[in-house]
Amino acid sequence: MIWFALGLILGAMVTLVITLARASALKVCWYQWPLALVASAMLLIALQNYLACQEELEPRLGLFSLLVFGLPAVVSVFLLLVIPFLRRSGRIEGGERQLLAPGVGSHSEEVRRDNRQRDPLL
Amino acid sequence: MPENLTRREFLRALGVAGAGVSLAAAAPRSALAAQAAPTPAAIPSDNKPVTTPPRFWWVKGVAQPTTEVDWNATKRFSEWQSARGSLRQYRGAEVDDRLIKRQKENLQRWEAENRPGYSTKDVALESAAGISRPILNLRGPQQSLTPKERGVSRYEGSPDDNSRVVTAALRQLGAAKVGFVELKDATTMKLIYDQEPAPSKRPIIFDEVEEGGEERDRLVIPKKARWAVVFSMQMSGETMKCSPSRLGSITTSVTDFRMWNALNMAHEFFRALGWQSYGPTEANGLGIYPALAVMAGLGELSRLNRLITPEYGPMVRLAMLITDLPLVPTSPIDFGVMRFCRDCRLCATTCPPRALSVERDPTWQVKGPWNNAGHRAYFEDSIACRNFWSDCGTDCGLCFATCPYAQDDKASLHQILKATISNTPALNGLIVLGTDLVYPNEPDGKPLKDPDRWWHNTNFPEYGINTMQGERRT
Repeated sequence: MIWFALGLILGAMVTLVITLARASALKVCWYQWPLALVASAMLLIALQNYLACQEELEPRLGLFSLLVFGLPAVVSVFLLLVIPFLRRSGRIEGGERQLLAPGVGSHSEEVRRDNRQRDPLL
Repeated sequence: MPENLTRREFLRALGVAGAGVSLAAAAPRSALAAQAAPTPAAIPSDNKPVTTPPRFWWVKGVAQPTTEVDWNATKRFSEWQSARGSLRQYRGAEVDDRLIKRQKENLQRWEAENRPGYSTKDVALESAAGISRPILNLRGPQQSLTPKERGVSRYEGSPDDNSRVVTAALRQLGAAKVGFVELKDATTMKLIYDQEPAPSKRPIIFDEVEEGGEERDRLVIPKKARWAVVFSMQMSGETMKCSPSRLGSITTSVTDFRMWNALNMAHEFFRALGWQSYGPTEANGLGIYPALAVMAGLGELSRLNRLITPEYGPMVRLAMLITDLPLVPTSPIDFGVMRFCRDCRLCATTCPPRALSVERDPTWQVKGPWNNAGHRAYFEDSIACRNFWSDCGTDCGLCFATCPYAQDDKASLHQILKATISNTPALNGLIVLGTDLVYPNEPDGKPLKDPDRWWHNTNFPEYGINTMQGERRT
């Protein structure tokens, strides 16, 4: 039952991310997709192992699994969230282009056209 | 819902959500534990059934066992020569008397002190588990009606069919894994004992007769009975992890009880089929079961100098019988255990009397007359081991409990590690390091788990085992 619920949550989250990305013109680079995939997989494996180890009456191994699989997942999620933020703040290349939906904000038509060309989701 | 969401985008999002639901529905207990689906070529037709259940993908069938054997140097051994059969002779009468006396005194004191694992309730359970072991005969109980007595022809099938039928039957009777070995004079026949255990020590003879049996001065097995049926039966890892203690030893007794019953039922199965079967007359009395199990592909030999299986680790007991029903031999397997044992050494460093070999590589040199020569193994000092049994009062089993393979299979981590050990031996050192971190064991002779805590497991599966472990699919 828990896996069914997790599957629903995962599907809903993916839908939400895609919808929000398109609605708010959040730029999602190609490398963020595999990063998200890795993070999701590691989180699921960490959770499965932790819960299964509790069933096996091996709590110590469960905590070890959380560390081994959960830590990379947390790092991946952190990178996933930080990279767009850094891009928007201009601290990394591409940040000077404002990532807003067409017609939103006070940016020039040139910038908006450029954004639409770069981001197929817009 | 964003205002500019189109129908196309909505359907796309719905598809993604559906993929998530499918993932949830398809997620097994352990995503990586599922066995590989059989290829079309392996899918049985009506005329060619699969002989044995599929194994995990990282278990490879091999032509030669991972234990090197020099069949020319191998001779038929006698069970009474083992440490089990001749302990008093090997350690001397004076030491034997002294250790037996000390064992008795320790057990009495520990029960009075209510020591965990040795308290009155532990003693009671041990007594219950060891009672009423079935009687073993060479031909079994011989109670079932044969096909001739029922007025029908005996069962006839191809060797493939026979192997499948015998495997299915033994599984129903409680066997965990079943394998077959063809006994050949130059090789595998040498794994059959040449005498039954003490005190009778009757020779076990293979003769050109139609039917064998127990005679006053020998046990006769016909030469045409040349297929050994070897099967394993699970022990409870959770209970064994309370070893060494009287509580920890009960899983040995309970499994023995189940195993000898299954053996007798197997005899009756063959009899009712119309075929002959020959089994041990005493516990461990017919052949070198770990060796035969290695040849049958049930597992690999290890630093424990016992069998480690892919599905259950070392938590199995073994039994065998010999039949004249033609069977298809199952090949030895390689899943990386012997390579892993080179780096691991956990059992040897945890062993309180240091009875197990700490050498990196196995050797041809035996430790004493209790070992049979002719193969390269991690021979142990069995006398030191048995002396410690006297110290701790009962069967030890700490080496079994501490083995990294002695795990359940619910967590996918176990499958990941086992597959890695099998395919990427370069990472064995890292895995050993991880095991040491999670389970830092000291050779202090203390159980891995609290025996008192064991008594709180009122929701344990029957016999303390998980019969779904190994994920069989037909």
